[in-house]
Amino acid sequence: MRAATCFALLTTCLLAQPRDETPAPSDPGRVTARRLNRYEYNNTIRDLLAVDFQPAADFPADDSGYGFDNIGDVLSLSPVLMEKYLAAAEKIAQFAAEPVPLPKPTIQRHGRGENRAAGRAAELIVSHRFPAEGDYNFVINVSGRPDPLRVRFSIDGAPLPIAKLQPDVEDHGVAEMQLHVRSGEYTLRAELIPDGPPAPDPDFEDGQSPRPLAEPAVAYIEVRGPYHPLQPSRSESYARVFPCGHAPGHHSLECVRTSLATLARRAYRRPVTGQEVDSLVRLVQSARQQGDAFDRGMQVAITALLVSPHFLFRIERDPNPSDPLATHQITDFELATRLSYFLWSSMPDDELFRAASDHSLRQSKILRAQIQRMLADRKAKALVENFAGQWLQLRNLDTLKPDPDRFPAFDGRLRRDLQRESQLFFESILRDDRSILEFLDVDYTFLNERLADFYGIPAVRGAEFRRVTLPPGSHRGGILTQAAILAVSSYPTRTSPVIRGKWILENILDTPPPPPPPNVPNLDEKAIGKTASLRTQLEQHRANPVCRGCHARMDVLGFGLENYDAIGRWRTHDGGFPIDASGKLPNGQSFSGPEALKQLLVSDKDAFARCLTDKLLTYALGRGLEDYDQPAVESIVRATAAEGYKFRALVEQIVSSRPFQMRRGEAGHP
Amino acid sequence: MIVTGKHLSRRTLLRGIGTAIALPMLDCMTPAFAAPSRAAKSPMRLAFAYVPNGVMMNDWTPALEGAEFEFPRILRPLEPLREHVLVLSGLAQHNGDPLGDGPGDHARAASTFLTGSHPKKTAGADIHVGVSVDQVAAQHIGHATRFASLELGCDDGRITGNCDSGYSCAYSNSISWRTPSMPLPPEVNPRAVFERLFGAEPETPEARARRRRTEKSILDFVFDDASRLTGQLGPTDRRKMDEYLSAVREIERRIQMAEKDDRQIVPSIDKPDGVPAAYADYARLLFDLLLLAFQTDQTRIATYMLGREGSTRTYREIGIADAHHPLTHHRGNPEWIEKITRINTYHVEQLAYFLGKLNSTQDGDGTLLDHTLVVYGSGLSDGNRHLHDDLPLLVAGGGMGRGHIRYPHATPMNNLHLALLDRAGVKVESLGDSQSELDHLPASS
Repeated sequence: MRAATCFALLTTCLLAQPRDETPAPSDPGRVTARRLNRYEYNNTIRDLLAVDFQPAADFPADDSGYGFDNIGDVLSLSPVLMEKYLAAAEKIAQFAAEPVPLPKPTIQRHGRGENRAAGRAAELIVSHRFPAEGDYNFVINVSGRPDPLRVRFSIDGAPLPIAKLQPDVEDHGVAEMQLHVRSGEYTLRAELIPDGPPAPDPDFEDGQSPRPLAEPAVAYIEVRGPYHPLQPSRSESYARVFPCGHAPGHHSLECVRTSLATLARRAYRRPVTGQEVDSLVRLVQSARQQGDAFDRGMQVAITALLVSPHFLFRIERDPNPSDPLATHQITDFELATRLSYFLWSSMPDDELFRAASDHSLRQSKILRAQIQRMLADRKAKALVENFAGQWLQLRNLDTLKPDPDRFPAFDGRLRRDLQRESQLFFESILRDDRSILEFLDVDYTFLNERLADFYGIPAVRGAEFRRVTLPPGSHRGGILTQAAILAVSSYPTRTSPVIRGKWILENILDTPPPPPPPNVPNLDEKAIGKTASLRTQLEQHRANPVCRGCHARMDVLGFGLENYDAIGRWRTHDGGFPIDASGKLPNGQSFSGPEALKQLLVSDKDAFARCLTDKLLTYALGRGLEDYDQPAVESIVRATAAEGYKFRALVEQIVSSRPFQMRRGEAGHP
Repeated sequence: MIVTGKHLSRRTLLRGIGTAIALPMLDCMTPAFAAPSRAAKSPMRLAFAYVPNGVMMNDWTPALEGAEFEFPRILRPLEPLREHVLVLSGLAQHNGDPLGDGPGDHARAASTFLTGSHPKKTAGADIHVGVSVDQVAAQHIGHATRFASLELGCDDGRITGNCDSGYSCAYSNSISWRTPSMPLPPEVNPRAVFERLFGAEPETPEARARRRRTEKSILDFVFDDASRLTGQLGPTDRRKMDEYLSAVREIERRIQMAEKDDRQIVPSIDKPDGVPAAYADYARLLFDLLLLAFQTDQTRIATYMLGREGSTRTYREIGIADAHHPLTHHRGNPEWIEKITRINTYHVEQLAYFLGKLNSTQDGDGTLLDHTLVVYGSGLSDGNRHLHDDLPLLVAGGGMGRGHIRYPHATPMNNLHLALLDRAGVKVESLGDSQSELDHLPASS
């Protein structure tokens, strides 16, 4: 592990790491075969077989290393896990290869919580999986001020005739339409178009209502169907298992072969040999010989595919596996696979496979276009959940237990809201390709009414999240002021400038401090807020020369955030004591308050860029970074800076980097 | 709704095709393939229970040595079982000390507890410590039962970030190590434990036989796959494939065991829905399942982490809203010490529950407690100062009797492991930093 180098502002308190003799600067390193972690397993099964029941939920938790749970060296495979792989594979195969009965019509409602059109009330974009081809009814329900409106509705961009909104119960407007739809997942979009001047609001104008009625909003889209389904017994999963498209019960060995060849190529994420297909076909044949039906034989073969090491591991081949000097480009399929697990935590889709098999993927124009396409895809949510969830430790919110006596406001809904805000924030930087510096300081965030009230920000109404430009004096903007981050870096009973300082050092500056030496004098917990402020206490603590080295840095950074309590609310006093959020860093720079602290952090653009690069590259490669990765990190940072620190530029630079594109053999005993 | 199985029956039901017959315990306990005769002696089981973050030693260590010691506050819940409790003082896991590796005592506490080996300091690549005592036992006597060993844990949900000062989370999350580089993560979901022991759904014998046949052909298939692959890989990737192959072999063994031992056991508790919200319910449910696994002889070796090392669990049900780990850095604060002591006592209450149940469960010519060696303790003594000597340790059951023995300072805990292995019928020369079998223990019966 190389010595942390990120924070130019501060001298590191780590001892210098002893360096081995410096390896050749062009060493791309090598990534250990990566077992799919739980998230990747679920996603891959979903994309491979359209099976969506989260089979990995019961798998043992994956260990993490270097801050992430996708590190090849750390992901081990115990007998217990193998047992679960086998059981899950049997269940998945049975589900996928069994003809499903005629789907019954159902009613499914997609509300604003699923909205992918961030912020606009007059628009609702959701995705819906249609189980079979057939007739479907769509009901678009509109809430808010009863303006005269029409509704423009489209499925995957194909518009339906514009419909006029009809009044419904409880002042809601409603529009209904019908369409014949093929099976599959489509994007549904409903948009309101004004059809006259806005309706008056008599109650408000009479002064009887405390605030005007909300703007009209698409409350939900309801999908009813299928009626008169056409291909009743072919589920999407079944269609993936039997791509030659025959009716259930009419299998032929030739089709089984084609099916298994296609499935194996996708499951192994690479071309397969005739021999590999033969051995799968033999499993079907031997099941047939024992009197099982074709479907059942296919289940056996699919189960085998799903417990094969070629599926469970992402294996990259070396022409010279034992020669550490033999560097080589990974294959196009391996590159496609690295790319898709990086951005989607899942297997490549057909388009990526195509780009790999016609060798176009390495053309920089095509690679960039693929990255852009992938980041725009809804599967890029994985990067938010898995990368941001671990980098910013948002996942820890799930198990956070603030003391309910001190923080009764912190309930399950608020917990979800905090997480949602930070996720949407990360997602907007990713999707809108904004500068990564906005992570530290920016004038907008994502709020719903509950969270806005919590923050004391006025005029945000309704349960759905939308982008909100922060009013002056809101004390918010950027991840450091988001309650999710402030809460995960606190104790259950109080704030901890030490933990927050450590959080900044680890996750913003990448210079983690060592833990405290044993037996140092403690804080008088009871006195905090009563006879002395936390700050005074910590300052006394810091007078101890053993502690000062690191605490001078950690505590000062943490103090800058003392205006936020242990669940992230703004405060000016801690108990009876006014908050002093000023500080002076060991290098002489001083600040007063969180805004100034942010300015200080954001002023060294490359420091933060380097840290985020470290984290993202670690996550992308699935291994810890080494000294020899340093030139690659530097060149990624330089190139990203040249493109205005845009998020997509950072991703592109990582994907084009030498460690991502290449690997080498490894010395060791055979 | 969680049913914790308050009425554990001593009977085990054997189900044939649509019928259920009650059989005396003995028949369940000595499956045909394992027993030379019906009168065979009950096997000795081994259970290792681990508590994180050390223990307040002042209220743990009895003042007197010998059989007549007074139970200190933390151990008091065990007083009704005093005939079965042997407290061992003075033992150490010296390899938990930094030895030049700097901070990371929590990671080292858990990873040395059963291995007696010094863990390699790494955040990811090449994790390495040593084979743990339970896995040594599993390798020697695990073949007699369906599961060579069982690993359980009460998860406190630590998921993200680095676990301890540059050590991979694997070191804090597991006390059981199958190989020096392969931790066995504990199963934390009671429902999943139940399903492993008793099956997810009832199956007819025909369906079961068919499933096993299929599974064997699938495992043959993937075994060939992985073997071919292994030859084409570099050393580290090959290690991953070895792990894979060894896991496949273990599953094959289980299938073979299951074919020989075709009992379908109907457990005396209902299938749990998931993780109970209250800690005591959670800890006891896992103890219940462990007891069932021993009782039905599905395994004889188990480890159980009552919390991950470094656990930040809060214990609201006993009025402690603070996270456990930060509390243990009490630095002399009496109020914090009081809270830690209460947490320590609370953990021992859960142990007392388990021992009590073992003691009231008939097994062969005695009770299950007579035939189970339960080790309970932590890899840290003083959680404030991160000490790895004079560890809080006790052995209950297994005919060890009662008492308090004080060993010379820094006696390796692994000497105890050797002695326990001996009692379980496993002869090994050494383990980790062991010197010789721990002496002064009561003679084994």
